[in-house]
Amino acid sequence: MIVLDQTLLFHLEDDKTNRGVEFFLPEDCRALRFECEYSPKFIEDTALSLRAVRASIGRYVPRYQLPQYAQNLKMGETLVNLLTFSLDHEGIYLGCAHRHAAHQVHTLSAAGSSPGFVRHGATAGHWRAVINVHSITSPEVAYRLIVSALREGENP
Amino acid sequence: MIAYKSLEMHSHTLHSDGTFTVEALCRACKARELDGVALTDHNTMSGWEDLLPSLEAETLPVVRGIEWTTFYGHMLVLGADEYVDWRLATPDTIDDCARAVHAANGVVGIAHPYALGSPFCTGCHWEFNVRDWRNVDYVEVWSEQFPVLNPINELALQFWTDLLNRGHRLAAANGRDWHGRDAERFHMPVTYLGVEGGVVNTRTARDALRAGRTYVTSGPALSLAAEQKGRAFGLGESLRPGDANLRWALDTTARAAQWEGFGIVPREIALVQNGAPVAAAPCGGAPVERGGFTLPLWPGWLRLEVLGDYMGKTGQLLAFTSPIYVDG
Repeated sequence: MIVLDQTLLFHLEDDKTNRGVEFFLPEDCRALRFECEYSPKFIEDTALSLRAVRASIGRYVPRYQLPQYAQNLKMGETLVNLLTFSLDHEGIYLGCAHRHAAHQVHTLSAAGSSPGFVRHGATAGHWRAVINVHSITSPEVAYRLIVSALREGENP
Repeated sequence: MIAYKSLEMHSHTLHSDGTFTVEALCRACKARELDGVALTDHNTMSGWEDLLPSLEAETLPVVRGIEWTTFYGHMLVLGADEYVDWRLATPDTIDDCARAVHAANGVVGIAHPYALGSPFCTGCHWEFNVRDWRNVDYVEVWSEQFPVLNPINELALQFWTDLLNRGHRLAAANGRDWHGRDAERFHMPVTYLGVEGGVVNTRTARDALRAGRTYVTSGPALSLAAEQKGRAFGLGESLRPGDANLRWALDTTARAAQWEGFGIVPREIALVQNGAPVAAAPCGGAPVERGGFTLPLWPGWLRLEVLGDYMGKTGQLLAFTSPIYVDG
């Protein structure tokens, strides 16, 4: 049973923010399944990346140390968007999937949850997924979240 | 009775972006001859569920922690009895957040304060507006591998020293920020914590950090104590201004297999008071069971530093203690 299927759009002004998505589970289930996917992951405009790197490194590195960061100044193409997923149930924090992959699937149940989330029953009530927008470096990032409830005997 | 034990203070597993299982992390730390490890996954404590008593008994004790991986800085939270929400941390709410961690009985440490921030690594650079430093217990002065040569640690050492000079009392720590099995042999300094009864657990580690009983070393084990008017004072404790005897020792045999081969040779022991060296003694790489300085102390702080050779470079900082304080 799909409980939520929502695509959220994030822009540069959403950098360093959290956005909550609430959903209601009407009955106790065996497990919840969360499929998260966002795009783009990488900044393909290497010239743009390089400009961003060169413009910002002086905020962190004193001039006398800059030669030690020569490699960083060459690797603008590695800049990424980073959005992670955290979860609450009835006000209880259940964990976070702090990983870099742009496509992730997580399950949550009393018997055991995916790494990053504590064991917790897929019980009826108010749930809140929170998209943690660590870094937006593209003009727009699309994030799709699909939440499915699995009853006894059901598999994803 | 306080005894100093070696720990890795910053580590990650599959529960965040590490590649270790919790068990593999424990075994890797055991192989490094550590006495304990702090499990500090990014924004989650789910790894604690994998800490079976049999695993800790077979490998080593694990300090329960979490790394607040916020947008404006990474903050290590160890030993909190209740979860405090990392998502509430903004530059101007950090005092409230750290105060809430203290209220939950946790300790607060600033992780890699001078790592590159956005767009390289969002949140990796400490950009919070801390106004009340009483809410911060320690600074990860050394981080990553080969920290002696890492330029971010030179800045972090100055950051910590400046805070001490402003009268704040903060312990020092090293954190490898270990994410997975090493492809090759890396040098891995450690933090020694002065734990009650020599027992490492979440409570004793928390107490040691809160009390300032720590030192950071690339290898040799240290001790520093002050004697004044018949009383002895250890790291983190406060004595009165005036003359004192400073007693120190250097053990170059402790965990030697873990750091030999990296060209680490202690050459000088220095006592630093309020940021300036006030006494020094040469040493030639051999253990020193009992060294000492007698000198006048004035209000502020003092720490011991070990200088010497590191991977072919001379005059490098090899180890340093958290301060002993001198009341005003």
